[in-house]
Amino acid sequence: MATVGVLCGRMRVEEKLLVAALAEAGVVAEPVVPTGLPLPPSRHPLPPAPAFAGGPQTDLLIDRFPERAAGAALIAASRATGSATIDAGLAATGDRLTVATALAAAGVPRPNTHFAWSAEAALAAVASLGYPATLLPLAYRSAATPLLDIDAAEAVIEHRAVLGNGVETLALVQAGVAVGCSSCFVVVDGEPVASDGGPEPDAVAPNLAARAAHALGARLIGVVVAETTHGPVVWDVQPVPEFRHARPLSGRPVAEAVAAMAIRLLKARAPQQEPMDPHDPRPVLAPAGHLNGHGNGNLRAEAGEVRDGVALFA
Amino acid sequence: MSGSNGRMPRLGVLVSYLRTEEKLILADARRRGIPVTPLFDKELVLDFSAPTAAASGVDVDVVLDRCVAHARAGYAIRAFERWGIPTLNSAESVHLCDDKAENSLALEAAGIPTPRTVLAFTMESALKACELVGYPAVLKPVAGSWGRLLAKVNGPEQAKAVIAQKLELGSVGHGVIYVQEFVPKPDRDIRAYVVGERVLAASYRAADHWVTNAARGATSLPCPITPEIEELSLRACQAVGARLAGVDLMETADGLTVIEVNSGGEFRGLMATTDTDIAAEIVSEAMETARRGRPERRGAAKSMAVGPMAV
Amino acid sequence: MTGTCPECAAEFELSGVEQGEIVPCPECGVELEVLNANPVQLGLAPEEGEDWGE
Repeated sequence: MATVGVLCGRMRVEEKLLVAALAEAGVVAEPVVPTGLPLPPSRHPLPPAPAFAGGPQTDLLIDRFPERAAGAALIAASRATGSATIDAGLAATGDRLTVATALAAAGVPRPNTHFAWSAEAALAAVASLGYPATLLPLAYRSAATPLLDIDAAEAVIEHRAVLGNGVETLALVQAGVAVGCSSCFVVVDGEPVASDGGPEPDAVAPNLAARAAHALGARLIGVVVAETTHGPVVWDVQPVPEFRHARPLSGRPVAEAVAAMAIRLLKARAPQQEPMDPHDPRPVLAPAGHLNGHGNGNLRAEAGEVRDGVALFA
Repeated sequence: MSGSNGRMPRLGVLVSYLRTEEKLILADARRRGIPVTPLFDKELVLDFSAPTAAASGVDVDVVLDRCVAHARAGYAIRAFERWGIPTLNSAESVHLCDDKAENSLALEAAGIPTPRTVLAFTMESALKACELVGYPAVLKPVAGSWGRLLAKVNGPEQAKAVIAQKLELGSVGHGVIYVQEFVPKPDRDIRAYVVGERVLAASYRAADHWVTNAARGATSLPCPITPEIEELSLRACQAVGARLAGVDLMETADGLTVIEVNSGGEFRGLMATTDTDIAAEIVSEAMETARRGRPERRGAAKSMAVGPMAV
Repeated sequence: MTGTCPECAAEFELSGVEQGEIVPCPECGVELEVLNANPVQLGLAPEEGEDWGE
């Protein structure tokens, strides 16, 4: 019997919907709420073997963890112990710069963007882009902040530089603001399934969201698409999207689509369930480059195979 | 008091490091034969159980606070007070000056013209505070200096953006949202320097930016000490119990308004605009403080008794 | 009276609550603040501040 976990801080509406949809599809899923127990860094117990062999051993873990730094580490640890994962791909482990770079490399339309690595650079970026602009700190835990005028830009940037710990100053500065002209599309297994907010979408925006998910190797992700005078652009992504109020695009709710993908992934794993060899010296974590596609047509499947293949020694 | 037995009072100058101002103060004291020693805050080991300051390594008769680190100075002065060493500004007045909310409250309570100030503790209530004073509004950290983190917010979206940074990244103190009405002013404000019961000098601080702080590159220009500047500055100092302070004033259509009183205060910019030897006046005031003698030792029942009303 | 948890949508019984009271959600465990007592409206309780205490 395959074990499916929903990695989360607590069971919110979205996680309940996922567990219910999986149950409907005949799969029992358990919430995985990290406790005070440490996790092994890999499935190879390091000598001396830890007294606690702990951590939930899942065949498939769905990443719904709200805090990204911990979430990314927990997902990586889970993969290292042999689990497949449903997550936001590069957006799950990376930051906004990683994502922006991958999207640009894949030719996905993006707003005019500068990367600012200091307060001075951020101010120069805003000055060159003009107002309004938006500051998107690299860490996904920090919200995108509209900079409507120079006074706001100076104050917001100074606050991040003075009050932050250095990392907080790192940010993307994007031309424009996405308020009132954006929709978030939830993309599941390559398909745009639902949209949350914004105008009734045409076919272009959902397709763009799907291209972004593909470029990031994401199995479950929220992609924020903004309308600009130059057409729709991918404005930002949400590694753990909320979807309780999302409108299904084709009748199938998000949770159902995730359940279908879970079953597909579990089936793909089924023939390979021989016990793992604890003496296999090969690394269990894929180098980041393996996950970072180059925009060819088969990237999503490829990224998934690489990921699970490494985890399973396929 | 040591001054009474004929010996020169020994002056300790509490510093974080030596700036132009402190070097001038030390030089003037030495020129006059006053035993003077810098007390570096980083070297202090304040043993509260010590019976005297000397037993805790501080062997002076009067302390002049020129420390840039407010938290350090605040506690050090409290300890000196407990040991009976007089300081130019009392611990209570340093406390009132180092916190912008306390400062504004003291000014308002004393009926001194000061921009309308509203305090709130959450995003929602702070946005209401901004509505109350109207946009543009000014947000300031309650513990801040040198023009740091001053924010002019021109509308609710901008206010939200700035407050969000405070709440996300700031320590506890940044959760106290200090909102002040924006006072349209000429591209300058006034810094009046008070020592004892006198305004020694005043200067305009001019800048292209709305923040006219010398630390942010504002230029200091001579400013005549008008009766209004004198009267208001002294009243402001009295309201917070400060005897050594830089008072920040702004010119408005309705006359002068007091922004805040800075305990100790920098006067480097001011020096270029006046013939008065400010460092020498400060040293004289320190000697005067030593002669006036010990503060009442802090007993359990009387702690913190020195408030603005007592001055 | 019935309240709905804004985090997990669980519905549960509340009695004698006052505005400003903190109640845990019996289902997901999140701390909730009673924003309105009648009709009951619940919001996420504020996070504990570093300087909170006695």
